[in-house]
Formats: sequence, C-alpha cells, structure tokens
Amino acid sequence: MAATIAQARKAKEKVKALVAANLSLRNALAGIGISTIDSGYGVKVNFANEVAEQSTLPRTLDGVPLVISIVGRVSKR
Amino acid sequence: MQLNSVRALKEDLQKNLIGPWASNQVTRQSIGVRATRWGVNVVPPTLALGVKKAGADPDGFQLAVRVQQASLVNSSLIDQIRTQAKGEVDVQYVGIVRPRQTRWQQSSSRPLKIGCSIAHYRVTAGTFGGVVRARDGGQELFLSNNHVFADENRATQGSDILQPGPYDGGQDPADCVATLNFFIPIDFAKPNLVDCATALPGEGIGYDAQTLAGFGRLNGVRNAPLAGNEPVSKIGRTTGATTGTITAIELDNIVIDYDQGQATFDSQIEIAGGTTSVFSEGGDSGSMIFDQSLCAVALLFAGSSAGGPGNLGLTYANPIAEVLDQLKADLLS
Repeated sequence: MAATIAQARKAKEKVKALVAANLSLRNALAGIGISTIDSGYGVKVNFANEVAEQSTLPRTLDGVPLVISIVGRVSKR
Repeated sequence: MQLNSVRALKEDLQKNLIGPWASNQVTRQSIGVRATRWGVNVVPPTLALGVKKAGADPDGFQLAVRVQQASLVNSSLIDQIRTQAKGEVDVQYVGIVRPRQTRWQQSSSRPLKIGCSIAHYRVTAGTFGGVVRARDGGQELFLSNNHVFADENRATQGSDILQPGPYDGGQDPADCVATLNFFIPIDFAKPNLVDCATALPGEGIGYDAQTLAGFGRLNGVRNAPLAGNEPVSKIGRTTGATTGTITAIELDNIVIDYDQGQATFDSQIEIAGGTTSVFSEGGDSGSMIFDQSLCAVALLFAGSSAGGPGNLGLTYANPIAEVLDQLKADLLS
C-alpha cells in the first residue's frame, strides 16, 4: 500500500538520524525531503557525491520507500 | 550508448581527432589570406561535438556532431567519427551560428516586469520576482533574494538596486529603480528557511505586478498543499520562461554555496527541468515560481550541478508563504 505523507514525514526523521550517525553520509548529504513515489509518498535523500556507505541505507523504512539521488554541489543562483 | 560512454568518446575525439585536425586547419590558414582571423591554437568554428538522447531508452545517448561547413558533412573526418562512435552518431549541418538577440529579461524594462534582470549595484544580476505590500504601512515593495538585493547581508539599507542588473549593463545611478528596504539575514551558522529581501521602488518607477509574460495574470498565492510531480513554471533573467516538475517538498539539510561560505536551508522545494532543458541557471535567483493556476508557490534561490532527468541539475526554492510571513508582507497580484 502506498505510504501517506504522515508516514513519509516520520520515516524522513528516521533517515535523518541514520545519516547523522555516519560521518561519510553526513558529509556528503545535500538534502532530505518528501517525494511522490509510486502514487504515494517516499523519502528522497540527496547526496553531493557517491559514497560507499549509501548502500547501508534501507530501500524502505516502515513501509516508506527511499530514493537516493546524486545532485552535485548546490549553489546560489 | 550510456551517457558516460558518450562523454568519454566525445573527450577522446576532441583530444585525438578534432584537436589535431583543427590545428592543421589553423596551420593551413596561416599561409592564406585570413591567417590572422584565428590565432594559433584557436579552433576554427567548423565542428562541434555534443551529447544527444537516443530513442525512448532513458539511458540511451548518442554523439551529436554539428557542422558549420556543408563540405564537411560527407568528409573523411565525419567518417572517422562515425566509425569510432560505431554509428551511434547524429550529424547535422547547422551553418554559421550567430549570437541570439538579448532576451527581454536582460534588457531595460520600464515598467518593470516579473522576470526581468535586477540586482544590487554590487551584485551581478538576479531576477525581479514581483511586488509585495507591507502588512504594516501598506508600502509596495519589490521582491527578490537577499543575495540579489542585499549582497548576502553586506548591503546597507537604502543602497541602490539597478534594473537591469550590473552584469546586463545596468549603471549606477542611471538605472537605479529602487533602494534596499529590508532583508532576512542569511545565517551561516544555523539553518535558514528563506533567502529574501525587499526594495523600495524609486519615485516615478513603473512596475507591473500582475503580468506573467506568456502565461497570463498572477493569481495570488497558492493555498493548497503542493503535490509531488506537479508542474510549475517561472520567468527568470537567464533562462526566461521554463516549466518543470516538483520533485521534493519539505527538503531539509540543503547546504548552499554562497560567496561568503555555506549556509544550510530547511523546508525547501525541489524542482527538476526536462531531460534536455534546465528549469533554471545562475541569474534566475529571485524568480517567482507559480503553478498551472498561476498562483505563486515559491521563490527560486539555488540550484545543483547534477541530478534530475538528464542529470542537468535541480532547482531549489523557498515556499512563498514562508517568504511572505518573514517579510511581513502580502503578494500584490
């Protein structure tokens, strides 16, 4: 069943904690937000670059899908 | 071909085939009558390599070759490129490419229109996002980013705002249209929610707070929550009118590179362009982002170097309701 936005928000906070606990992930992090996935909601985790520890993040968390994107550096426009 | 394979092939061809060929052209021209037109080591404008999507496969790409001399289309040089690309190449004759006429967004705009170039006199150029009315006093004020109007906290209240921005030829004081009124400081130590500022229009400076050129009339502020994959548009100084898709909301921990260092932003909106076109570029900061009902949803302020369809980068924006609350103003529409 597709995740609700409330479920995605809870999962987002858990993902934040997972990332914060890992130095490599924390240093490469470029944003954690809510995204529409499979007609429901999911957590989108952006990294500036690929790091090996990304594979340690779950693909779903409490039934909420997780997507990882590499977005490079973010700068003012 | 995979994107990385096409990029590697392009680099290899440029270095080992096009470069030596171009140098040879320069040498040959050096004994001709137009020898001084192209300096030594300057590639004559005859051929350009790029990357193009191939078919419906999202991972399928091919080499794009754009030729400016018709005689090159069936040359041995193109045959060599075809061979090395194993036929996965799109060759097109484009003729001489001339600079495009300057966008209206980058020219002088009187009255000021939403989307035109504007900036503090010490800043290069950003975008005029629209007009707000102060909740206290009712003054009408121009809206853009802090880093456009207030030079990342460094500008003083009352300093000149130029239209077009200095990068587009704006001169101080001749093109001064407003003065810095108020900005929300960018905090380089704690998370931020907005990058915004207002400017007080100069006496007699006209502005159009309602027209979204090419779209219609601005229809106030969006009240309904944003949905993922929803199309949104903007008019910006650099890329003009573009439409993209919301790819994330409530985005926290975005670290943005500013001139003065890095600042973190929470509760932001992420927008992607298309597979072959970006939603924004540098200079589009301050653009008002609006939905299909022409209701304002966000204020554009940052972008990434990668990500999104085509890996062309993503755009980041402050939710407009937060911008207006922090500025204690309402959007004029």
